[in-house]
Amino acid sequence: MIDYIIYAITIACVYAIMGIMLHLQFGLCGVLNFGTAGYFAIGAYSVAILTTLMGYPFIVSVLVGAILCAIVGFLIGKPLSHLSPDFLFIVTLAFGEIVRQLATSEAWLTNGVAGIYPISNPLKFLPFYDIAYLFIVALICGALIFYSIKVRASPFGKLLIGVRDNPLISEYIGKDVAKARLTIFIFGSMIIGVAGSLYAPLLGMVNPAQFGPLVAFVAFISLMVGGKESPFGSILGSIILVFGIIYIFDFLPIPIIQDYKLVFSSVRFVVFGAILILFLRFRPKGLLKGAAL
Amino acid sequence: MKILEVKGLHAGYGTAEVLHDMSFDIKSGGVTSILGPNGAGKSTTFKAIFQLLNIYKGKVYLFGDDITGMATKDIFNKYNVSYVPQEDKFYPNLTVDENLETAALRTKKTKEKTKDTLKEVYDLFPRLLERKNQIAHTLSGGEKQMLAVGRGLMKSPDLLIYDEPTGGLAPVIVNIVFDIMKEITKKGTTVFLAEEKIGQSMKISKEVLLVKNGEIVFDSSKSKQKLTMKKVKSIYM
Amino acid sequence: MILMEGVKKFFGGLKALDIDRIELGTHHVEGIIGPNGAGKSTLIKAILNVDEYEVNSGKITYQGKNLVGKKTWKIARQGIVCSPQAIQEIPSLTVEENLYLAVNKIPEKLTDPFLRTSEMVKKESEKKVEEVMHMFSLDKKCDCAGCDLSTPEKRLLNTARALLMNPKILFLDEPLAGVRGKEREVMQKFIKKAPFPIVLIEHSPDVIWNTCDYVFFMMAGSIKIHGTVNAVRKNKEVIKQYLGV
Repeated sequence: MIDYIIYAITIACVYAIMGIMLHLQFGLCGVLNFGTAGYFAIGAYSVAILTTLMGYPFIVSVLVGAILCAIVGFLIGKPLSHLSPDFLFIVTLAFGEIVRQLATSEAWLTNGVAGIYPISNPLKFLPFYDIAYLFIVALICGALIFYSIKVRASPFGKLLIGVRDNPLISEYIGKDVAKARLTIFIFGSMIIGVAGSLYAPLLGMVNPAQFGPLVAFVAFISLMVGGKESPFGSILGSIILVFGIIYIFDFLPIPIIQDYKLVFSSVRFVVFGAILILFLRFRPKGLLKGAAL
Repeated sequence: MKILEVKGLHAGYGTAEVLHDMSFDIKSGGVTSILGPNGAGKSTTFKAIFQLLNIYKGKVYLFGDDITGMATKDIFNKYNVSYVPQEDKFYPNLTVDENLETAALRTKKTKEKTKDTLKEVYDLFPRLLERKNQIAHTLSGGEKQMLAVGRGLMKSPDLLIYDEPTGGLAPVIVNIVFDIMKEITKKGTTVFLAEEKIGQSMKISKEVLLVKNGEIVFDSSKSKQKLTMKKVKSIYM
Repeated sequence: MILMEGVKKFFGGLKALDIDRIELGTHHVEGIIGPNGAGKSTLIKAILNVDEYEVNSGKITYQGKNLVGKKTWKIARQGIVCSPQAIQEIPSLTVEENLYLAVNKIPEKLTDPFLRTSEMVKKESEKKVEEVMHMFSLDKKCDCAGCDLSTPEKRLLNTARALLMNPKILFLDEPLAGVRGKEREVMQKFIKKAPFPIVLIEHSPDVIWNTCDYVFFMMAGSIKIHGTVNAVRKNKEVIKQYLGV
């Protein structure tokens, strides 16, 4: 049981890292990145291929993954940086899917649908390695939360908010709007890649199915529910959605729900969608309106 | 008979007050013009009358009733008033005939009466009759203006409020538009006209209001002096 | 200061600008007047090369340097500052934050939180920002410019922010629309006393005749008449167009 809790919290921290990046990109700057799964996959496969298959140290794989994500982020982000969020949505979603398709088709590299396993925890040589790993992941997560709180109060954060609220006037006041958007896009993509690298040893394996569009959708719904303008928004949102909804079904002693547990687990995405619509209608800024600090 | 009364009106967009302490009356018959150069507040006055902006203070009375705060669509449904705005004057993708017909539907008239009114409008604008099946956005500038007025007339209104009809029109057409307004008043409709062409408007108007910076600076019904172009120049130049 | 030669701008088939040759910024306050749709705002947007307003032909230069095709933010940084029509505040930021953002002395970087850039910026510009805030009576505390300021105050914020950009020439597009009383006086005082040329689009005849030194009268995309304010005021053609005699 304890093992499971440590595992669950570590996964939660990984998702939180992703959520904080979405908060910075979308919450603060209005840059809509639905390709989160793509960067996540690049980071995860980087570890799987370079460490598990080829034996390079974990830290090297993480760095390579991050650099790859930065390069890809630049290639995609540059042409999009002066466009509105609507275009970004389609293109980034397509990107995420392309990565998944490549992971499936380029079996020579990625072992296709079978995936790559077992991916061992880099701290395996330590006693209580799972707690140690949790500690490191949590530290990274904590550092990023700290960064996002500080950034909001910094000139860069104010620039991002200006670009989100009124890109036209931002140009008039001498701000390179495209560069601001591109910067946060690349940075976010890189860190999402790192999150993917940290995720791989937790699951012990990677395969293309893990990186579908649902990753982005759940991440965004968590962000919107929790509050896109607060760094804690996606964390709160994930806790409510992932733990709240799913485990309600697991633990409610009502017989009917227990009987239909399997059905409910598929239906949960309908529930997520419904929750998103309700929030967008009645509480568009999410639970933590952004003044949380 | 006062068909429109505005008393102490302060109105604007959001918290920006654009009209200040406006008070005037429109009496039945003829053309009353509200004049002034671009940006003086003429269109804004019309929008305020029809409750399309924030009214901070003051009242508007139409045919004796207090319409302040009334929903715009209710004003048009309840009262025999027509408004020809500066923009969006007709449906560009419908024909001339369809545009005129749709303007009548709102008044719940019977089919026969609509036919009569339609005939009257075509009599007034023979050029529209020639083009009755032409798509509206392909009409010339002057014909578009005729269509806009025609739509306004489909209600056989007692009051026609007309916002800057001659914008962008050639002088020949401008003259035609002013002639049309005289014709309309002969049939008993009162016209309340906003215009930038001060000189020409003064010639056809029974009463004149001059607007500057959102305030009425001259009201012919309240002034003993007749308005001359010299006075107009001194006000604006 | 800003020279426009042979400038033409079309939107589809519609000719929005057709300028033979004008120079802006050679007088203290220049006014641009004309009916709706004359191209006044378009002229300014063309100079600043705002999205979709790049001219189709002609030259626009600032002290000899070409402006056509340059990025708007770069043009603004050169000192060609515009306070556009309509309310243009950044609603989620406070008045202070809106103003500091315009100073542009220290570039914003991703690493700002580690470099304590915020303190550096404050130290560098605090005095100037407070001066401007006071000048435009924007000192009042507010949590967000979008919700706490009245419309006239937002107009003042627009102009205050433009002032902080160290303009060499300032374009004001209808800065007084809907601005009354004390706020109007503040704005007019600022326009008269500004140490750099101002180009003003305004409808109010009083503002134009009392504040401007030079006036451009535009119609259908071209400058039909221009001259000193007294000359334009008495010009028969202007009177005819303006008053529709």
